Amino acid sequence: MTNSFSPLVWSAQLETGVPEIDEQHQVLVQSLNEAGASLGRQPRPEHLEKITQDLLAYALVHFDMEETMMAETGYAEVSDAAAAEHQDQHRAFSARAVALRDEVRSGAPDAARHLLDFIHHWLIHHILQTDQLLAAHVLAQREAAAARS
Amino acid sequence: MDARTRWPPLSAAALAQALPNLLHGVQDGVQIWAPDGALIYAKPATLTLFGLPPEATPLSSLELTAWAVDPLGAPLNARGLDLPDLVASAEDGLVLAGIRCEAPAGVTRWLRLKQQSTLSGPYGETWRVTTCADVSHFVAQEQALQQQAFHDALTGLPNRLLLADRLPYALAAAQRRDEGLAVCVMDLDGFKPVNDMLGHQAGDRVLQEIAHRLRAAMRGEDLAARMGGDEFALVLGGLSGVADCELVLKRILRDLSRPVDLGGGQLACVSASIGVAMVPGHEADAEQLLRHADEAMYQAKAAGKGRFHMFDPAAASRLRVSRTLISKIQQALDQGQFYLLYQPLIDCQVGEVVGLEALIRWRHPVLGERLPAEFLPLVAQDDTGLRVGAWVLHAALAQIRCWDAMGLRLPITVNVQAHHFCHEQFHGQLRELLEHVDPALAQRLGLELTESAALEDLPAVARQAAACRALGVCIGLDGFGSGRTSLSQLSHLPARSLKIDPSLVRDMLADERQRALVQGVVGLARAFGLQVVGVGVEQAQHVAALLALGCHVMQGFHLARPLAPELVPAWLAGFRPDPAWSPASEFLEPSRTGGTS
Repeated sequence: MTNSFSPLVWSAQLETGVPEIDEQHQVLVQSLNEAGASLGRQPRPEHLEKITQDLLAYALVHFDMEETMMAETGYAEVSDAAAAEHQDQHRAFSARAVALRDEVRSGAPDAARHLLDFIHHWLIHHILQTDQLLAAHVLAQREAAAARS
Repeated sequence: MDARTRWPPLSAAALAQALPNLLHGVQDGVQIWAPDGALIYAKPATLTLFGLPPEATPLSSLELTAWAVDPLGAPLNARGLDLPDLVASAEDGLVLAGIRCEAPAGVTRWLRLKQQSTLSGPYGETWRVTTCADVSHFVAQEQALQQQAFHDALTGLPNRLLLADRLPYALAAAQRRDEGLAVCVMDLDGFKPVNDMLGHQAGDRVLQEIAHRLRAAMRGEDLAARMGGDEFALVLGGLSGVADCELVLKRILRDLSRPVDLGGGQLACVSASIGVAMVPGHEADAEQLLRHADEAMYQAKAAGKGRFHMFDPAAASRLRVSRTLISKIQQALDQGQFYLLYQPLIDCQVGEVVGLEALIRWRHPVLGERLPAEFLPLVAQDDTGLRVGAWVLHAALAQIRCWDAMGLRLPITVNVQAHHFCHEQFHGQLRELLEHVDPALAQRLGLELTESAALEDLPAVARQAAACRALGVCIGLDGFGSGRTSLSQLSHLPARSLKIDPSLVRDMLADERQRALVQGVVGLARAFGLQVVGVGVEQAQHVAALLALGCHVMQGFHLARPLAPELVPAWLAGFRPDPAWSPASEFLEPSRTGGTS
């Protein structure tokens, strides 16, 4: 990525189709755009730290919701490997966000870029891939439940 | 059979000729409609009801436009409907509707139209016969009632009920026309002082004037409603985009901020804070849009009043995330999901355990064990953070007393958030807690603040630290070396120990400069007579390196992981110093050993 960051616009491509999940994903896009915008100018450490805090709050609330959804829809029974991989990615996210916050606090010169790369990577690899698998499963379960009632 | 004469049937022509006179005696108007919906006959006396001149027969070429309404005057159909269409669509014999026609003079008449019968024409086509009555009087009464029920008496503006009724239509219309629509919630700034200081009459006058200005600012199908008190709602349609909306709002804000003349030379000055939720832009129904506008209104107030704030769905989601998290943490407190682990501090020089650090963990019902770094900073500035901090102190002191009874008397350090530490009630709570447990145990309690947090309000931290030391509690600085404490600042802090930031320890093996930093911190600690602790010891080389630099007390996974309190006694009993720690270094210098107390 270069210094000229163009904000990411929320699009259908990013949508999983599960409204609760999508709503919270938009928070992340917002964080990405804020981190991106801070790259162009001299980023203020407290601003970057606020972004890392947002990521951690997002992690606790959003992963809670997704993993509750997994449990309720029997994701592990359908695909044990996918569920385990998904949860591993969640745990790694929180650990990395904590590390990034420490980096920001220590005033490391590349902290903003690392933060941006991290969120970007998460969008590409987790939201566009891992979450899509879960969403397909959740939507299928919901359709089946609707058909039964 | 009677011999009376049987008359041949009347010819149709004779009947038609007689019909007008025949119907003359009927009180209601009578109409006949052609199959194409054209009115071909109406009783002359009732032609004016349809807004037609009395001589206007035949009527086949006249077009009548009317609105279909139910007998109480409420619209049956939102769009204007041709009267003949309506008649044609009527079911046999049913009361159709009231019909509102615009008379030439602009008078609105309300007619109740009823289909009486149908006639079959020679080609099988259907002609309809209707009667109608003028019900304008009843409708006027009903409208007056509606005005009362759906309008605010003071300002005459639509009220909340009418807004709720109209908003969905406005939304649907905006979507159909592909236009922007803004739903705004507006609250007056400075209204309460007017009411309080100049009286309710003055307040009412202001509200009426504001309503008047709002009404003047509304265009086309815009709607201004009074929600109650000094709160209003605006529905602004036909917007081309956000910029357009902003222009309209700026104009309204300007109009409303002009002083209100109360008479007698008195002026009242109010302004307005407006929250705006706009479609398209986010998907929401009428109720949600109002709620979002309301949220945005509070942000406009918070941002300094006299302004508008556009609702931002992403920012709102973020706020929701943060509120959810706070409520989860409160729930965790209430349900006992927090617990403490204890990590030993070891003096590797002499091979002794010199203390334990209490570390909070969250047994999250879904996500499992969470570390404090993941959740504590998120509530550090919040009342929930104070509650968590109080719980930690309470739990740690209870543990100290429990171990004390078992003869286990190691000092225990507890991490305290700076916000909690500097809180006006912190000192009192700590004292009460100690008195409740055993004041003598204060000697065994150490409080640790992170260096960076302590620096945020150094005078307050220094004051509080002195007060805590008076209770017998020790104060230490955590994460030292990552912040920017100056030497003079350090001399003002009544701390007894410094913990070197783990990042310095981690990198000191590979990075000479980090090693130099550690050496600097150790020297600084010695100069100020502070105990220094190396944190983040993850491998044997760290031990050796720290020993070589004169830092003897250490903490880290390599030495001991954080332990559940019930495992601590057995771990301590089984503790043996590693022979590899033995200081073979020529850098060995005499050092302070022992605990933090």
